Amino acid sequence: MSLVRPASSPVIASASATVPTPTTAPAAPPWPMHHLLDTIDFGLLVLDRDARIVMANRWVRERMRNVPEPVGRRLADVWGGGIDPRLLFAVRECLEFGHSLRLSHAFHPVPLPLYRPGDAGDERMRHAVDVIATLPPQDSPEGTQGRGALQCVLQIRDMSEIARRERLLKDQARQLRIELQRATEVQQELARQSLRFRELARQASVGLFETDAQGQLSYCNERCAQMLHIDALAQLGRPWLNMLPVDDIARLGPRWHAASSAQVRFADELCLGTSGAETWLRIEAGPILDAHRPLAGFIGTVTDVTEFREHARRNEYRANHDTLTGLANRERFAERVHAAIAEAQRLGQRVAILFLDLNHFKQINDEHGHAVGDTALKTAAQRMRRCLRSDDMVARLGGDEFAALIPNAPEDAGLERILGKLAKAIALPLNVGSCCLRIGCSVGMAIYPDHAADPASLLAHADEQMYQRKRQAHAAAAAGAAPRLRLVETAQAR
Amino acid sequence: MIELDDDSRDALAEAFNLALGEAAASFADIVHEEIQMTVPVVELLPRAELVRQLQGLPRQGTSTKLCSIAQRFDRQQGGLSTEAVLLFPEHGSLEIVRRMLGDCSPAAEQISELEQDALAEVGNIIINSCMNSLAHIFDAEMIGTLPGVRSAEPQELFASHPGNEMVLMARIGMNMLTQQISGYVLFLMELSALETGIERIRHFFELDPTPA
Repeated sequence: MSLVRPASSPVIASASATVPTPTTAPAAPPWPMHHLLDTIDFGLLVLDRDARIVMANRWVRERMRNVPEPVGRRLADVWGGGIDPRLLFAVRECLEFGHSLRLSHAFHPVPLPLYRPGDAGDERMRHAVDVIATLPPQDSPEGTQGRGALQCVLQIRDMSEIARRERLLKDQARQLRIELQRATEVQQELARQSLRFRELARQASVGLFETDAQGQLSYCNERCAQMLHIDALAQLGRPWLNMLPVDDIARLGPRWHAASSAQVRFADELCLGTSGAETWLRIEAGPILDAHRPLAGFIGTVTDVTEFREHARRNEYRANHDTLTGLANRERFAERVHAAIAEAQRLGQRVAILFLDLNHFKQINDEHGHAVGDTALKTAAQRMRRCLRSDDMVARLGGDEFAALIPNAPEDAGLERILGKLAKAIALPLNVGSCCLRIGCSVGMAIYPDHAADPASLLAHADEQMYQRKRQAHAAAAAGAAPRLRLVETAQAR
Repeated sequence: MIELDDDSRDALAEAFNLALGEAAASFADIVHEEIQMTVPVVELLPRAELVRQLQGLPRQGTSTKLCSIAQRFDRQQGGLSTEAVLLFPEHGSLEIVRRMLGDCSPAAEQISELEQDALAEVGNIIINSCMNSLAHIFDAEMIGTLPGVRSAEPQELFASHPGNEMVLMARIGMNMLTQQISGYVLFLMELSALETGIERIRHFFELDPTPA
């Protein structure tokens, strides 16, 4: 608390100035020097022992309104009932007991009916009055009256400006308190959010990191550091890309810089670890944007997608392959044929489509069971694969029907050789434990562009040709001629 | 060594009791709130002992400062001067004046100029009431100055006074509706003035003069 009176505040009543001791000659000027008192910037009224005004300086006179000449009159005679009763009480106490009294502005805002000079309004000027007991100069007429001839000096201070200033300060203080309260609440909420975020980040199953607008790492949770095998603290303040292996920095760097410059989302995947123990991580980073502020930075996530990728791979495999034989399925085969025709068109090549059907497969199933049937199908598939080039494709179309695609196909003679090789390979004995089987097959062939120009027509042509050959084989068998392809023969297991 | 005998002490306590009762009534009129004052305890003690007592006052908050409202009184014919001082703990004094002014907002650290003036008036009323009674006992017209307000640590309050100065102390308690604040009314007198004063007191209560 500071108790400081402004230097400009008038204080004429100090202990030494107002209470002369008998040993000290009074130094106060005689009243003919009233003109000097007219120059001071506060009001002075001097009252004699009978409470009559003996002097009113110019300051007071300029602030009086519609009142008679004050000198020679009592306060009540000049201002009537417009005076605060406390002031009259103070004057009486001053003159009777020699007490000096302060009428503070806070308790007595307008003790006298005074008005600001030049102000035509009815509002009284705010002021404060000090009632000071004093002895008149001994050589003055009042001073010769001896003991008890006290005078009363009313010192009047204009408090308008101080009151206005303090009201303003109080309003400002109130406003500041409200704002401080709000700020405190916001701060507490921020602290709660920060705590919440930290705990969420700590418990998160994904890696989280944050960077400034330049991509320098400013935060990284434990999970992120764990997944990238880094020391998080050592990375703070460095480009976040440095968390990644060197090869990936080189690969992702240009893409990241493009995304961050454009303030758009960045996402990519990378692989950590060696073959067979890979971990695939998906890294995403998005800008922290606020419509009213420049880019604040980026928030990034690191997610382990190894399992996801494995599932996706399996699903894709299942969608495109026959689960029993591992060969491509009908849909996958059709796509490849389509692509091969387009390629052949462009390069002026031939494409051969083979359609292959196992002879008497139903009989194998019926006689030896489905397990043996499945083994026969898998074996046939493996044998076909082995007879063809790596660029060729073998597919299982369903049941015991297979197809093969031979892009950039050789001449007819070469193709016939392939057909023969296939038939021989499939017809090799197959030991199924309880017996040894020999499986025959029928093959039809269609060639782009000789027989058709689209996959469906080519396949239909090859299918038709396969059935023709199968019928021919049956007819030959019925006529006793040796079949070109041997039918099923069963034998007892050795 | 000047000492107050039991008779003088009782008489003074009664005088202060009456005077402060008057002060409380004046006060209540101004602030429209009932203020009760406890019966004062009167002691005569050296300044050093007074400072020791003031330093032992219970603290309010972290501040050990006291707020003093002081007025000087001089007998017109000389020979009897005293400085009357009203002391409150700094925090309590600010609470008093703010409650009186009807300001319910939390107390600011800084006392404003208007509040300082109001505090001066509060002290002024109490001190003048006491001085009325004391002047009556002294049979002297004591002319008083305006009150001066300051805030300081207890040991700094009387630094300019002589070390051997004796102090007439009346300890009072002020109870407002929600505040219980202890205040002190002190009369600091030089030795010669004190001797005169005690003579006057004994004379007033028709006690034997102090033995030479």
